[in-house]
Amino acid sequence: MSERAAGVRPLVSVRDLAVHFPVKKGVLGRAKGAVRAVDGVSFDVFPGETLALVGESGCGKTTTGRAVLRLVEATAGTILFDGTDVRALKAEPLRKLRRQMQIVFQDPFSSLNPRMTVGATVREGLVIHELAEGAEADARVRRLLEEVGLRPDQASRYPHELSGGQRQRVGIARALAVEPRFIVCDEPVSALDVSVQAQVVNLLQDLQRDRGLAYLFIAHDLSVVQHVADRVAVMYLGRIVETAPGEALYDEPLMPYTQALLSAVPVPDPDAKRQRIVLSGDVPSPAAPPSGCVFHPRCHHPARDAACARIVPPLEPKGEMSGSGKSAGAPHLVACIKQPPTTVDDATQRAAGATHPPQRYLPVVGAR
Amino acid sequence: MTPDPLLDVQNLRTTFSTDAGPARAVDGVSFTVGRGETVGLVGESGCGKSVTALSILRLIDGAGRIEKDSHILLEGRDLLSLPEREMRDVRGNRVAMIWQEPLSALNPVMSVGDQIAEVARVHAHASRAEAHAKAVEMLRLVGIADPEQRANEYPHQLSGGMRQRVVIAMALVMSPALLIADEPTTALDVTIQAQILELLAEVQKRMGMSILLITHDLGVVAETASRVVVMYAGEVVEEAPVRELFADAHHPYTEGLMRAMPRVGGTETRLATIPGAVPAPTDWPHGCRFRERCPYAWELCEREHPPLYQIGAGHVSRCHLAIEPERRAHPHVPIAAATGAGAGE
Amino acid sequence: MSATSGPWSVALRRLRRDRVAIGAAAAIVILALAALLAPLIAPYPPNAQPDIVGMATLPPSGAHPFGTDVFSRDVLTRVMYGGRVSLGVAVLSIALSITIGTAYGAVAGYVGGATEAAMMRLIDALLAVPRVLLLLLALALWGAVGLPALILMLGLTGWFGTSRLVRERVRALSRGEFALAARALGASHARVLWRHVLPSALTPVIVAATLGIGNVVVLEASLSYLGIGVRPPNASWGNIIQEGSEQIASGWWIALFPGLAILVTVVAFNLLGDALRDALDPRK
Repeated sequence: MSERAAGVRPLVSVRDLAVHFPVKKGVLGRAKGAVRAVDGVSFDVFPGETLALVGESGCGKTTTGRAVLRLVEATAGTILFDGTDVRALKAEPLRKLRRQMQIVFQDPFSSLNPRMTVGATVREGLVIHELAEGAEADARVRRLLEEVGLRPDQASRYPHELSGGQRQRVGIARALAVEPRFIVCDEPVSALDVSVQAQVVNLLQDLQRDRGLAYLFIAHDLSVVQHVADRVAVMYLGRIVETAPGEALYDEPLMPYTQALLSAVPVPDPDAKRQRIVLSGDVPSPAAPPSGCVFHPRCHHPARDAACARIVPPLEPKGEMSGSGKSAGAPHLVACIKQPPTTVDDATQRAAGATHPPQRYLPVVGAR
Repeated sequence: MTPDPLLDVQNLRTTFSTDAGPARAVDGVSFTVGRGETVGLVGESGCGKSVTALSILRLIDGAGRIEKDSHILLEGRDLLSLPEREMRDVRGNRVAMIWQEPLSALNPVMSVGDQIAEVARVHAHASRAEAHAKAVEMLRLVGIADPEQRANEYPHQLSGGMRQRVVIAMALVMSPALLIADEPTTALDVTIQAQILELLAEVQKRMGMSILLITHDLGVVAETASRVVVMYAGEVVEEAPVRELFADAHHPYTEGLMRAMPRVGGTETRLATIPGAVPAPTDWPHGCRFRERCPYAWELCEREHPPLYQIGAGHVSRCHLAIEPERRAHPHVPIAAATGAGAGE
Repeated sequence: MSATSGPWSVALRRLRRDRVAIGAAAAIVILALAALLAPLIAPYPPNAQPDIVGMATLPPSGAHPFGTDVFSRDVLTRVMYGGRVSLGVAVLSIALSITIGTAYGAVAGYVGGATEAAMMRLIDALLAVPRVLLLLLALALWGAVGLPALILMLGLTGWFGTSRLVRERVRALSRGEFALAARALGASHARVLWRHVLPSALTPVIVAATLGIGNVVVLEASLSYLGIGVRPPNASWGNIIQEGSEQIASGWWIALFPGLAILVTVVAFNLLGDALRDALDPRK
């Protein structure tokens, strides 16, 4: 997907990932169709960078993150971690690989075992992978707690004695204990208050810098994402509909869904005059996604027409390579046949019933 | 602050008895809501904003009580001295409330139409047919397509946004004078949040009610409220017209919240934080309650609990900086950051 | 702080403040001690028949606080020895059924899928047969049984409900985030189940076990009363009542005191179970 800086190999490389959950009916539990939670998702995460996976509830972002770690089994596709085919691994090598890829959960209440002390929780990874024991393990736990901004004496506390922000720090320390190279951050700050959220966001950024971590940062909050992400992938109904370096996505969102999403974020400025695109209706069920472009029933692109309901839009480059810093050279990919340039030529579109030629449509400019 | 306000909360104090002693969740809160106005009540978890809302409706349960010298005047009547019978009539009739989680506010085994109709039957003594017609009308008002059809559906058949619309429809049946919305969009996706906020603004314009919007999201406040009340540690720490608050926040807590908030379009690479955490309501610090987390605090803040200083027209702030404004130019590391390494929160 | 804030110590502290729980626990301790120490403190040997003619069916007196039975045996002594059997059978059979039920339910709930469905259908089927019927059938086929066999039978027929309880909890917990976090760390399934899921799944089991002891005491008494449980001359509360019921007109005390012992046991375990349920409730 990305032909960036020659020689840099992605740490995580996902191609055509699909996760379908069978819908069972009746006593015999026969499968009656499937919920296509994730339906053909591809992306790379490079060492030391943050790729944000953004979307609303039910878009499949959490399932994607879990499937990459094989906490959920994928239906199809390939997942390479540093060249290793994760989906082909048997139980024991997978268990070993888990040292290198970790997860931080959203809910700081349900993600910690209420019957284990903070120290025992952080120590768990050390024990499982036999990294340290006895006094050395204690010392490692203390260092980890300090690294995430907790006091070492808090090791003897239970989760219910901690605040939400402190619990989230424990969850981060637990993940760090096994010295991973890649962490799936599944909405790590969305359950926290604003001031605490900023503390945890900063902590995650410091850890990335100090340890060279790569993050897959799953979030619904575009303002948080803007602060942490080098690149952003927007998901809708199990698919990635736009992916770009952060600046490019916020400056020039091309997929109409991304535009609506960005315009809906409340701006803490009473004088801000912005056009808001209010989408009508709800997200369709992933058990019966719309044909063609999955967004077409709610789309506000002026050139939307019958072809959108027939042609599945390819995720293709639009605009120039605009990334900088860690995302330098990353392309801006958009799944929309009505945003030029497109490889779905006019003849093909007309054959599918198109009445409008593609036209550049940018109602939300410079959201940054 | 508003002449002849619709709601006038005076010195509200709500205390809960806990194992650790009395928790002064709301500790001397005063504010007003004018007719047709939207007031934002802002604060983080534990600041007392939700307890304030429940106190207005007198829905404080067993362990809590509203202290004697508190007053809640609605249209000039003190709700705290009404007999429970009359209070029941106020709830849902003059004051309605919507909640963060619409599913928990709806009865799972009753169709949404029947639930809305129920309100009309209880409060307006409407006949079955009238109540049903009212329910359909309300569903149409809140923008639900196919209201006749939807009226027969059950909460679990609806999406989150649709459920919140139903809850709003229920709240509006009796055309209340005041709608209290407690984090009405927090559980919703951002595009659905946009729909709901738009709906609230629209029905307000149509029905002319006042809205007390309780939220932690400064973005939501900026877009909906005309006046903002900021709460911290059971107290009002700042109150101002929305423009003035965002342009010129006075209280260091408000200032900190604004800086800590990531925003689309922001250019800073690192978010500002407020070190430490909200103290426990059983143990509010003496002096200024924000003192340990404040970059400007000095010995006066420890010695004297700050009053609400007048800062400008309709702008008050509970901060001694009002009398020594030059100190704002010399911030220092807050005590909470120096001692707790961010762990105190 | 650390030593006293764990979920178990919190529960214990709550229990200590609960007067009903303290009373129930005290009653249980007294009954258990009386039973355990019977050989040391009982006033008479359990089966001594000092004078089957002159001392039979004596009402309560200083020498025989609970009176004597038709064979001139001391009823207090019999009730103490009977408690050894009744309580012992109850505790051991509950321990057995809790172990089986927990293991079965944990496996079903953790593995999930078709295995779980099949395992739980079997439980449904077994639960559809009344337990007493199952026991009567087994005992009728077997004829006379010893105590170990009785414990085994009570234990083997008592775990279905427990397995459902455990399966429900394990199912929810093992799909929860902290179990997922443990898996993501590389913990084996056995470790996830044993260390992360089971400890939290066990609280309702502890409550159910406590409540269950009372039930089994009654069940054993019923079987013994019917003459197919504990056989004379071994005493159990059930068979003392059975013998006493034949003398109810001339010696009401023979049946009354073991009956009271059962009543106190059942009420005490039920109260303790309720108190435990409250104390272990994390929402409080």
